Amino acid sequence: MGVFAEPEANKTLLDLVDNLLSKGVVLHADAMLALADVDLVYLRLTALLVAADRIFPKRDGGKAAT
Amino acid sequence: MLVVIAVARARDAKRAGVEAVVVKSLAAIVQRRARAPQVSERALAAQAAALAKLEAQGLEFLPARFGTIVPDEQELERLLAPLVKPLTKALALTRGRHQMTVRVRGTRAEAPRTSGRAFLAARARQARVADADPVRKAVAGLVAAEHTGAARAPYTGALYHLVDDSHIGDYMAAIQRVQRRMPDRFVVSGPMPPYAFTSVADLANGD
Repeated sequence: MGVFAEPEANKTLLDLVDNLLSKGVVLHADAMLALADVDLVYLRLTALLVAADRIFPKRDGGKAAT
Repeated sequence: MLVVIAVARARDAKRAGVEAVVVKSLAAIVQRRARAPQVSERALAAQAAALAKLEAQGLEFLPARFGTIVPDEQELERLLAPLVKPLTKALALTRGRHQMTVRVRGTRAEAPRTSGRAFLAARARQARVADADPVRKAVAGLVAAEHTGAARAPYTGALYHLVDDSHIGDYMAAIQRVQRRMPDRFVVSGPMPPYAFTSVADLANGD
């Protein structure tokens, strides 16, 4: 795949985030995740996953997408 | 707690010898954890690696979304039981196939606000990822199914193609021909598990 200009590491991270956080089978289970070593962030999975794509701030320092 | 990483046919999971909770003809492939997984690049990579290991074992599966956690087997059975039919359908659709992702580089133009019709037409074009039409044309006949998605800058959108394993080489060759004609416009990754072809809602709508 060397003809593509995108650095492999960027592409891999993008695929990880895109595929694992916003795609894949949803069982409507609850998500209990740990952020910054604080356990029990406990949300409905669907609600979390809507948010997951939005929580990263824009690179220009502006507000997160809505 | 149980972390669900994938869903497969029960008989395939049994043959692969992976830890799974079986509901009718399906098996939820799980990992037992004492603590909730961290949301981090490392944790995402670890789950992707676990899925790659399943692939290396020759197992066909639908990947689960990161963070799918249930307290015990009974709860998992309760959640999985109503999804057996659509997930079986998804496994049939993705059998012998992998996902290829094509992202389109560019600047996403704002939809014009001159009229409602123009605005909606522009938004429809964006949703269809019309900028990727040269790719669609190049791989026509090699794609079993397609989904589109939004993408963050520097991309304007993404195509998710489900491609027969026997067509992956031809697909890559076709994409590379487009790439030579339009350098740096399209970025492809894959083959990978069929993440974008697991939506129970999509499959239910197709009934």
